[in-house]
Amino acid sequence: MNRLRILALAVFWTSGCLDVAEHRANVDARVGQAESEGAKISVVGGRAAVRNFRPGHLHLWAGAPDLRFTLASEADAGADWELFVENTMPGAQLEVEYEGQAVEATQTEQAAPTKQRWAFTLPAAGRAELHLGVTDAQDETPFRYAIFADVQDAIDDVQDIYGRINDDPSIRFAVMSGDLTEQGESGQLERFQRELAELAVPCFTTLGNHELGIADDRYHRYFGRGSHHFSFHGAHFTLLDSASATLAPRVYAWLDDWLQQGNDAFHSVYMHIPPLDARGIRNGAFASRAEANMLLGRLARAGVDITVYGHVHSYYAYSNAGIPAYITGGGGAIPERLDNMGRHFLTVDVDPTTQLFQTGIVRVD
Amino acid sequence: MVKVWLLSLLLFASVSARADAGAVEPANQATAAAEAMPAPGRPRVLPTITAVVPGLLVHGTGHFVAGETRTGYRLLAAEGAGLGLMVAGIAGLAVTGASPKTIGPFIAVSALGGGLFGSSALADIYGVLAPEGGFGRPLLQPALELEVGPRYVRDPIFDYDAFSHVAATSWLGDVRVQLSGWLGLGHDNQRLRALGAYRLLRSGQGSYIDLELGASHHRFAPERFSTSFAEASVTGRLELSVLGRTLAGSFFDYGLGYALGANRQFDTSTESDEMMLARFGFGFFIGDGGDVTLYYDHRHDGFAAGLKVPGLGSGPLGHFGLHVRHFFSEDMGASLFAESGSAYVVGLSLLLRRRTWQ
Repeated sequence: MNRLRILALAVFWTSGCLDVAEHRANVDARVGQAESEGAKISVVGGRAAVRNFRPGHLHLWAGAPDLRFTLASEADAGADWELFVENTMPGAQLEVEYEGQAVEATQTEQAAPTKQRWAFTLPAAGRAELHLGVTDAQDETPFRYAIFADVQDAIDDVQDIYGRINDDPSIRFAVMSGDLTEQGESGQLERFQRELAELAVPCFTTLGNHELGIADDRYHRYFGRGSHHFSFHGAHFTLLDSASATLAPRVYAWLDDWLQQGNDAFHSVYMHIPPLDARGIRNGAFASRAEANMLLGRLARAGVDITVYGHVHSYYAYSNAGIPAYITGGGGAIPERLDNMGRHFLTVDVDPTTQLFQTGIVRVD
Repeated sequence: MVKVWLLSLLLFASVSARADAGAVEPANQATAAAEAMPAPGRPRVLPTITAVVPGLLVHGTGHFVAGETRTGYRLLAAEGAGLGLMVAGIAGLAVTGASPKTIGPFIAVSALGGGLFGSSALADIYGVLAPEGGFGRPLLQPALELEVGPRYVRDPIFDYDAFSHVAATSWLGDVRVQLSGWLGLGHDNQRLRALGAYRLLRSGQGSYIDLELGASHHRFAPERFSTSFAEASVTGRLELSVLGRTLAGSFFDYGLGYALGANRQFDTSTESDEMMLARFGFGFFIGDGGDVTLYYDHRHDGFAAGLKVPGLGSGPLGHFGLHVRHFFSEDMGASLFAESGSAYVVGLSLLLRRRTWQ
């Protein structure tokens, strides 16, 4: 059996697979949608993973600072609802509107800064609009966020990084550009989520190639979409699933829309595998130079201000298609040698009104 | 690429059948291959089966079963060397964390190891299938070869698909000049390449070492960018008859180099880029100056580019390919070309050649 498996792998490795990321894009399109016993949840933009859903109970993992979603129920049963949201912004408030009328929601628990439990009652079967976010989400004032990547098997020491992020109260959230785990096993994904409970701010993620070790779509059950977009303080954030050293054709269609939304604003783009490596000889990058250049050209012409990647376990600052590019793979996985870097994360200070930004490196070791 | 492997197996089978029937043309110049005739009665079935299973795991098995013990051991040794080099290269990459300061030699060692590993397996199959002297003989340094034909590219990322391909190769003494172009049909895309090579060393009928200097320019007009590279490589071919008489007519191709160039976004930016070049393959001669080559090419530019695979391994590897050239007459032939990487690329060409300038 093992020989058959080896042979099958050998055939795969020599034949390639052109649409290797397309399945994950199709899974992306279903994130944030669920139905159960006549009740239905739909998260706008797929910005949250539905971890558990049944009439009266909804458990979400937030993938963006600001969530809007719709609850629809055909039956009159289950009018009392419990909403449990993980990875949410500290101080986020829940607004519930039912048939145009505000419904009172009560926060029943805050187990951690990023974990909130709410209770509310819907009057009857119908459709409710919910909004969970911080009150300043739309203010176009300067803010700071952190970026890191490539934790993989260094999960035992990841609290060193979270501790340094927690030391800086001006950081509003973190972006993690892939390789959360070593193999993408369920236990490893759950462990990463458990460790995040110690982080005082939410962490918005995309997946890396190491999330593909076991299955193509296990990551999505826990963290939601691999390719998604959100805005905060008027700044736009686009995270793209480049875990297979390419983007799925369907993602390019979404990207056009997201680039248009962020055209006149500060727009940052995150991927795990960079389109072009800072050192081309290594090619820790897209499988195709042509696709890399095509993608970067699109980003450049849409006025993207900064691109940030992982995959390479070091720190590089360079330029791709004229866009400032950073590789920040200092989450602890096997480090690049001879670079004098070690574990680190990146901070970005953004002024959305001027679209100016400044980066900083925080060394953890 | 599954199709590529099937095609190659079919080719093996058909050429083998022709050889069994004594269909290989007698050579008009004295070569070992031309003197060779099929050995009637030589057992083929069991060695061929065992060259595949378990031969793909234990290279040389087919030769052991066929009684060619010395060649079998040499192929097994080549497999071991290939595995060892691959392990050493990958271990080096892991220990250094793929540091760009040391990555060049480790990629080269890994690719060479992979080339040896794959070639020793294919050579085992070839050696038990091929008639004595092989399926054909090489024609070294023909004065002029012209190639023209269509190419089809299936790439889910790009709209283009049809190209016309033209290439000209000429030998002037020990200097080779090659010009080639891919011209988009109904799509504004062109890839042009110029290559100059000098034959540094030559041994026997088919072994040699060349120094190659080249330049390529690829223009993607609708996508508004182009890539340009200058490159230098040491390439060569080793006749595998050095490992045993059953391998006469087969060869191991190799090449290592470096490319430095630039990516240009029209009206936006021009930035430098670089690539490691490595190419390894196994092949054998067919007929009079034709050949079949299965190869790995580490290039990440061009149409086939790098391999995309399920799981976590996409990106670093280049592409695999099959190139078949067969001459029907003194001056005319055809070629089949297939590559699998980020795209599937296939093509057929008409070949025209002139043996000498006289």
